[in-house]
Amino acid sequence: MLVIDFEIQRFNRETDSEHRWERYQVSTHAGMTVLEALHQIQEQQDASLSWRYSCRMGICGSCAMIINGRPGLACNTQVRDLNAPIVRLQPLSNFPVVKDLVPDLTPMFEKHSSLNTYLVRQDAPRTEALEGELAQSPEELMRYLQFSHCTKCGACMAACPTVAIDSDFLGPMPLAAAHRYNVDSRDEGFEARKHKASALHGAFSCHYAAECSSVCPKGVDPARAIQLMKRDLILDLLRLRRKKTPASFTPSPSAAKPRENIPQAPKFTVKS
Amino acid sequence: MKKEATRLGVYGWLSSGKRGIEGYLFLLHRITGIALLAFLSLHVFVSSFRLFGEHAWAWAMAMTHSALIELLEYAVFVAFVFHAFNGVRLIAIELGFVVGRPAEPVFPYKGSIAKQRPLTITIMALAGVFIVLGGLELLRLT
Amino acid sequence: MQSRYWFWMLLSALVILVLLGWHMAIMHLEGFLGHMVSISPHPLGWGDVIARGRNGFVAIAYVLLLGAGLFHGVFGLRTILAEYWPRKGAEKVINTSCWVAGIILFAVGTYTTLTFHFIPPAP
Repeated sequence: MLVIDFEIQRFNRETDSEHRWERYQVSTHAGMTVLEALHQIQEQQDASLSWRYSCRMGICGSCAMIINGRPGLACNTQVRDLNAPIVRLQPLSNFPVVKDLVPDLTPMFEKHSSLNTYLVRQDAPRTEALEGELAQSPEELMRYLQFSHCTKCGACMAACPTVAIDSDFLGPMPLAAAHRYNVDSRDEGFEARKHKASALHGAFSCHYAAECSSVCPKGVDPARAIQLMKRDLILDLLRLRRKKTPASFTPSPSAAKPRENIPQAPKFTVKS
Repeated sequence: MKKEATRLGVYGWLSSGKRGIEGYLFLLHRITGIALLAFLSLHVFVSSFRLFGEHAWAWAMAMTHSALIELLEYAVFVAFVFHAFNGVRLIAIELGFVVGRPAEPVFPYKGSIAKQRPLTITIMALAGVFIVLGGLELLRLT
Repeated sequence: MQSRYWFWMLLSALVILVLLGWHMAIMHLEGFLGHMVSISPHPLGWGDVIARGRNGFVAIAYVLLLGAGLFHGVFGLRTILAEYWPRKGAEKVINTSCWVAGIILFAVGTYTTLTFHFIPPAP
């Protein structure tokens, strides 16, 4: 049993004008995460403590916060791995604070949707009517799969030095998401995204400090995505960007003939 | 537009997370860039003294050749060497050459940061060689 | 649009790399280089200044270097300022001041170089 001090930044936007620090003592055991410590504080010491969490296993991105000066997920940061007698918790930097460790991520989501971060196709009515499956090879998938692992936790936005000074900068998460769609072989939206991406406060305000990739809890490497997007934008400027035909629909499986001698499925035993 | 209470501002350049070397290189690139621009402005002004003849030039040279100013000129040289070499590194990175192909992340994650490290270290070593050479010149040891 | 400016930053950077590299070498590395090529040990002496000024290639190189250097530096400063003050009104002020400062410095430097090239003052 190791007792560790937790210093947590407290703030309530409805009643407070500035934040304050509060200290709690937590008995930790091996393998205990920061998220478990927060639960223990709330259950045993201070029921008013607020933070976001959901899956508690590093897949939803809700519990992102600043832990001893570094953005990370509370659920996959073990208290003893921090090797510190005091653990300082703060809400993510560069966002307004709702309460305690809960940031208001609306600015990030607004920037994200401003970049048309969805599959844009010329034959949108056919895609939306789910006429069929769009063909994509494993190699084409690998070009964007890494960037699709983003959970929108906001840690990269807190770590980025440009986001720190420029509230209009799109930021690593929206830009990496835009690149994820640009290189998706099923997408035709590069032209729609490139003006916003290459405008002032767009991709060219990234100067490869690579703090985003350093703190990303899912290994998305947004810095890589943004540099690859800059390369695409420069090639497009020089009219050297290769235009690929977008993925087409695969033939419907019902058009195929079933093999012979396949046994029938058994009848339902439960009335639906 | 009102700044959020948590927006770090310029402080974010120093402390938005426990930095890797790339974050510090970004900061140094900015600082050396501003320093070089400031020096250039001064340099254009001082160099224009030659229009007024040898005496004016000799006066300007006497004014700008104390030990402190020679040290500051060496600092400008160091700033240029760093900014130039880091700039070449940034050109390679921002054109997507050394950031590596997208790949499935396997913990512990080693992405573009690991891929560009060898280039970064090589370039900083080369910059170091030139800085030392310039230092030897400053101390009149070449 | 920024992609175009970034590309000009790249081109001006390459120009500066070559020209300023040469300028720094003759000014700050003359002892070291003196072992390999014949180079003046006193680049700031009046005789050397006159000799460089009269040389047409050097004059052109200086004007190119000044232009590229000022574009690169002033645009870089403008980028930093625009990131720190993202408001629309601030953008206009930043752009105008950068243009003005850049033009003044370029005018002074080019005037110095070209006047000195064509009419060096009597010693």
